[in-house]
Formats: sequence, C-alpha cells, structure tokens
Amino acid sequence: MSRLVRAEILKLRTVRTLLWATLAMLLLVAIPVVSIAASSGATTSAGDDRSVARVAAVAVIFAVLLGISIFGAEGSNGTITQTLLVAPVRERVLAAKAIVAAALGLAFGVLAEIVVVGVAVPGVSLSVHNARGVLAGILFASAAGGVLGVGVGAIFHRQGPAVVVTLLWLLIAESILVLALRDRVKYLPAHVFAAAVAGGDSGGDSNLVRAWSGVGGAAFYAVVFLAVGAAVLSRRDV
Amino acid sequence: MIEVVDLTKRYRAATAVDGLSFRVTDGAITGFLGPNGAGKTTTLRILLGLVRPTSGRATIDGNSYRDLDEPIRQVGAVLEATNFHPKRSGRNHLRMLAAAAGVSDGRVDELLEFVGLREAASRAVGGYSLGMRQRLSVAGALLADPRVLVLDEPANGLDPEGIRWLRDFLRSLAAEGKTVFISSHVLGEIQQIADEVVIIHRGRLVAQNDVAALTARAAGATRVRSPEAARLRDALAEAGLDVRGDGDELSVTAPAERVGEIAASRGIVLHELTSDAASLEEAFLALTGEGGASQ
Repeated sequence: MSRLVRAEILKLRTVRTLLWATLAMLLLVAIPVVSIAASSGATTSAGDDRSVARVAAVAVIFAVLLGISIFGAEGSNGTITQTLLVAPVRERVLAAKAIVAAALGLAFGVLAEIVVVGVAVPGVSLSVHNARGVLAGILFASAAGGVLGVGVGAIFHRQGPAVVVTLLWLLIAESILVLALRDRVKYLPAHVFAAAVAGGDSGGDSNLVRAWSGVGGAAFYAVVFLAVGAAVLSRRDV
Repeated sequence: MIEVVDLTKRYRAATAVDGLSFRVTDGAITGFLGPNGAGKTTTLRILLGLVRPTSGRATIDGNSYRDLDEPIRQVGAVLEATNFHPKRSGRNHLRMLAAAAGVSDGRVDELLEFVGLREAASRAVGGYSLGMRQRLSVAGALLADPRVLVLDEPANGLDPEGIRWLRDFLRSLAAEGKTVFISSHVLGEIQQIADEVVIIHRGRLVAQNDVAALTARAAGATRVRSPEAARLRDALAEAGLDVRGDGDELSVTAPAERVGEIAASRGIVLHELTSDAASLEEAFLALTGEGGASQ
C-alpha cells in the first residue's frame, strides 16, 4: 500500500493541477478575508468569529474537487489502465487514492485556516478560541471531502462529468430539493458538510443538523461514496 | 503459460469473444491475428485483468492476472499508445509506474536509454510522436523485467527504423527465453518474428499453428517434378486430385505427403516434391475470408 501511496503522491507532484488548485483556493480564501479585515472593525461576538473563520470552508470544496481529479484525471487520460496493470486489485488503488486525498484535503484545510487566522487575528481581532469548532470542523470536512471526491471520481470515471455533476449538486440541486424535502434536506451531503463546518452555529438555519452530527454525516457520506466507487470500479471494463 | 479457455465476452447484443480457447507456448513469440473487430484487444485486456469476461477464463501460469503475485514482475504489457497524461514528462511517467512497482529510478533511466528516449525524457508526453509513445509504452512494460510480454499492435506509429528496432528487440527477448504474445496487423512483421500464430475471427479461434505449417496449409499446393510426369499425372488424376502443369513439372492441389504416397504406390520416380508455401497474409486471408488485415 505504501508504494501505491508514494505513486499517487508522485502523480500529483509531476503535473501542475495540485499547484494551481492550491493557489486558486488560497486566493478564494484570501480575497474575502482581506476584504473583511479592510472593511470591518474588530469582531464583536463569538458568532462573528465563527462567521469569519468559515471563509476557510472553501477548502472543503477544493478538497472534493481534488479528490475527483485524483481519480477522474486518470480515467480521462487513460493512465488508469497502466495503474491497474501495476496494481490490479482495484480496491487497493482506490484506498491509496483515498488516503492521499484525505491528507491533501486536510492540508488544504490547514492552509486555508492559516490564511484566515493570519489575516483575521490581526485584522479583525478574530478569537480563535471562539472559532475553534468551525476550524476543527473545516479540517475534518476537508479530509472527508477528499475521500468523497475520490469516490465520486471512481463512479463517473471521467473528471469532467464528475466535477460538473458535483458542482451542480452542491450549488443548485440541494437548494431546489429543499422545496420537496423541507427540513429533511439537512441529511443530504451538502447540508451535512455545511453543518460540520458550522461549528455548532447554524445561524438560525433549521436545515442544518448539529455540528457533531454533521461531522458524523460527512464521514458517513465519504465512506458511502468511496464504497460505491469501489463497487463500480470493480465491475468496470477499463 | 498463457491459457485462454472457453472465453466469452458479450457487450449487450454484441459478442466480442465467443468461446475462444488457445494456449501460448512458453519461451516463444506468438502472433495474435484477426480482422478488425475479431476480439483480439478484448481478449488481451481480459488476460490483463482490465476487462471482465462474461464466461471462461484467461490465465497466466494458471492464475488470473489479478491473482498474480507482483504481476508487473511477471507480465509486461504494451497497450494503446494514448494512455499518458499529456503534461507529464516521459521520465516522470515511468517513475510513477516504478514507484508503484517498487522499481528504482535507476532502472527508469536505463530503460529510457534502451528505448532511445533519453534525450526526450524530460519533455511532456503530449509533445511525443506516436512512435515515441510506443517506445515509452515498451519501456513501461519492461520496468520490472517480466518474463512474459503482451503487446497489442506495438508497431502502430513506428517508422521503418522503429519497426526494425522492435523486431530486433522482440527477437532478443525470445533469445532470452521470454514469452512474447503480440497482436499486429503488420502480417509481414509477424511472419518474420513469430514462431506460432493464433488467428481469430468473429471472436472464435480459426487456427493455431507454427507459421510454416500454417502457410503451407493455406497454400495447399505441391510442386512435383518427375521424369515420368505423364504416368504421374494419370495416377494423381485417378486419385481425384487437381493436377496442372506441362512437361516434367506438375502442380497438385494436395499436401506433399499425399502426392508422394501416390507416386510411391505406382513406383514413379520423383526428382522434386515441394510444398508451395503461401505468405502469412495469404494464409490469413484464406482462413478468415477477409479482404483486410487485423488491427
């Protein structure tokens, strides 16, 4: 397994996808937090602290997309064929990718939080203590998001369709499903991950489960998508 | 030994491989031929664990590819030359495979030199010609020095020099006692390098034989020279054989053994008895009834 993990890391190091994804994420975290620091005074409540810290949750979306890319790019470029010739037990390949995606998701979370804390603590007197639930939730959700992304990539096998469907689901589908499911929408993936990064502060949104339930739900969806991805991959002709 | 037993693969209504069975001899170069859509690539991909068979099995030393211990150390595969990340360099592509296989980077450099890609090693594969990609595929297949090599159309995209390089390379592998199983549409190349051929058509086995026997069988004609050609002609005609030619040389549509037996039974002296071998292409066309070669 360690060989496969090393190979996965090498795959990411030898193309620029990871570099561009990291830079884009840092930019998307830095712009709003710098904007907040420039336009606001010090935070006045624990809720403000959590709200500012939540900017780092962009890392979760990038972790999901990176997880998709870790598998989907191999399907799109056809390199999955050579990967499976070296390691024909497909579940092991998927497991190695999930390990790397979880670690990179966590790293994304850490980097995003470093930017938020580095800018917001001096800029708006952010209280890390007040925001600790949000920060911990983002780290966990980023790692889980990476694993979920690998599962989605394995299900779709191609990067493009997987990214499009995932973004449509996260940005549009669950918002529409609220009309049909009402408060049961809180059990769907995007809402569960949102609860995980809310740090126990739903901001009055009744469509979010509690933080710990969100963390558990994020882990549940990561495992389910990875398991479905493994099942699809094991049956797929490559 | 590579063994395919009653292998079938169906894609919905289409049957790509239909009850195919054959064995590939260890330590020999075996050509795998068939017209377009005959099921060659599907068969190879099943053998390599990339495609699931509907029924039957394809094994290497009795094991499916997935069940082999460290398969890349036992079987090297050259498949289509498009399975590369276009932005990754040739060297990094091999390093990636080497890392997964537990092979050193030193071996990567050795192989890049061997396949003639040392100069282009740091360039992105997207800028490689088809021939360079084929060479990179060959390097990937050789990473762990396997004893069996499976190649699907390796001559595709190679220029004449590349084809000659490939032929010499495959011969050197055979000289080392390695097993080579190669599909190709370049029948002349197969005829030059293969010890045996397996021919399939519409997913079924048409023939498996050594090249010489197959071409002789396809031709089916025997050239015979005798000072008693008139007597021989009559004897062969009485036996119901089609005899052509004038003078003391005849062409008979029958195996040489049959012609010789008839001549001996009549006490007719022969000065020459030769099987007229066809080319592998003629044999291929005769067996498959196709106007085009395989892919």
